[in-house]
Amino acid sequence: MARAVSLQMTVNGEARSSEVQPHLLLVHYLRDELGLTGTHVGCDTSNCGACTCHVDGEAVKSCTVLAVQCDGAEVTTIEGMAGPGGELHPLQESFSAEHGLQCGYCTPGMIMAAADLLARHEGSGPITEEEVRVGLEGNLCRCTGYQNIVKAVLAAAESGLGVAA
Amino acid sequence: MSTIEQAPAKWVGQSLRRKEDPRLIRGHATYIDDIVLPGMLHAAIVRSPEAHARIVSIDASAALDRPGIAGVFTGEDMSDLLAPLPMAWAPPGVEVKTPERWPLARGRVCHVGDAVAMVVGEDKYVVVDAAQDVLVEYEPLPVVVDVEEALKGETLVHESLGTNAAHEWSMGGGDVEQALADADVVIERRIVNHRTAGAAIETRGCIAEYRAGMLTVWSSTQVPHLVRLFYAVQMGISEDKVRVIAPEVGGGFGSKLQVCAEETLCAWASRKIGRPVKWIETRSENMAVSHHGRDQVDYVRMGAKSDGTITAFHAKIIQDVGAYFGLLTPMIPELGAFVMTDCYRIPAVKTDIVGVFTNKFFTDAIRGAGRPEMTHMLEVTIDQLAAELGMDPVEIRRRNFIQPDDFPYETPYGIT
Repeated sequence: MARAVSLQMTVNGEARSSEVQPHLLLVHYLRDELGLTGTHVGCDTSNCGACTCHVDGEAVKSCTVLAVQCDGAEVTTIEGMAGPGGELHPLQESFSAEHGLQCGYCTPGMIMAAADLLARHEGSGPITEEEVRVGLEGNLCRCTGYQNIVKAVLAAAESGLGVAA
Repeated sequence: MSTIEQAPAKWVGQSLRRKEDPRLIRGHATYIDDIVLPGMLHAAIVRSPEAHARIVSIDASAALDRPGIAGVFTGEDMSDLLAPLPMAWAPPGVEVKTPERWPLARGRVCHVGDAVAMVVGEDKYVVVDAAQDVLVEYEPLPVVVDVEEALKGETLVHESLGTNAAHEWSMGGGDVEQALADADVVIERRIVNHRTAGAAIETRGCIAEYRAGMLTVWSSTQVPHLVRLFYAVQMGISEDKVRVIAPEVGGGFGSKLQVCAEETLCAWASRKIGRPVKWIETRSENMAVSHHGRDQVDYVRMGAKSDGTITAFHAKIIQDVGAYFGLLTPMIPELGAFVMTDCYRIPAVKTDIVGVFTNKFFTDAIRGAGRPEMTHMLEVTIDQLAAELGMDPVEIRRRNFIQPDDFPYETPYGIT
């Protein structure tokens, strides 16, 4: 075992501080140390996007980032997307309304990637279906065939949110 | 025509929100890897890089020297298991040659990824490192991976069976050979339906806890009741002392319709060590050793009249079983045989199936299980027939549809 390293991070608005092994992955820090199990591991290789969360406002595949690389960062996970009173984020609402999920395993990553996509698109006019499909190509779903995921993201975009998390 | 009063709209025709969505979209659902038990250990599996080999020796000393390792176990350590992993399909009158499939290899590996040893320890990173320290010496044996090559029987996957042909089975109705002889046109083709992976986004995984004579297993499974029965059989525990809990399952598509070696390993290790044991499959393992699907070489013949009326359809299916049987492996092409006429009125049909062992991981039910293979065979052959006759592929299908006044329609093999 290597010597533990001290780590400070703001996660979903809360300051966290831990001693971690330098080889600990961000996704395992979030899940195993902080108990935020909404971020999932799907492929261990940054192919599937199930582990997507936001680091300093950008979507990141947390299975391929070391926790210590995020020292001092602001991290948002799926658990941090709903409002302070528990009200759903527009993307959470539209995924449910448009049936954009079945087993739900890829869903947190999809929502985090979609939020990042819409935030980056802000100010560039209405987002097209093709832009959503291309923008989410790093996230895999095996249940839905993507049709309703794309619908859900377009519906959230139309609902007028700039969707910055 | 009588009028039916419209019932007040309540549920029928309404778009309903799913009850499970709120926890799934908030990240509050509980999948297998979200469960942590007090004192829980982690497991990693040492797997064969060889497709067929004799295990000469296994040296686990370096792995055991690592801090935090609770045990390294091999097939020999598990001789107290009462039964191998199950194959649960036995049609009357069909001889099925079933090789024993144990959770850990006993002296010989038969495919890449065959489990050779299990490492159990305190931390999921530590067991993966320790698994790489387990030194296994292999003496390679001849390998056969092509199903038609394997059918020749020159290289045997299981010497003791004396053949690679695992089982043969036929189904049909009507006189296919006569109908083909009488046909104006006969289409013949070879079709390869390649091997595929179920690849659920959540890989397989389980936690087993043996405590006070009771076994509780949390497993990402499609068949909790079946695995409960087989834990009891394999471990010699009364079934009422076994509880299986399927938490939220992140996709399965058939790949979790299985009695998995790793689940038995965790249950056995928990009883051995006296602590709960968790195993979560890696994606690389998932592609290699979560059962595969399809993998057939098919020879089909279709007879038709010059006006496009199909009169006969024959399929010879050579099923690549892989090295062992899973729970339902030999049944998969049979499921296809049951739908071989699909929506068409074909008076004479026959499917001849031979299952063949190769040095690959076993195939079993994945997404449709035999039926997509048969539908593919039928439809591409109809396309070829249309081309041969210079007919529109839509028109030729319309001409052969079972018509509304044919119902109730009995297929030539007797299914209505």
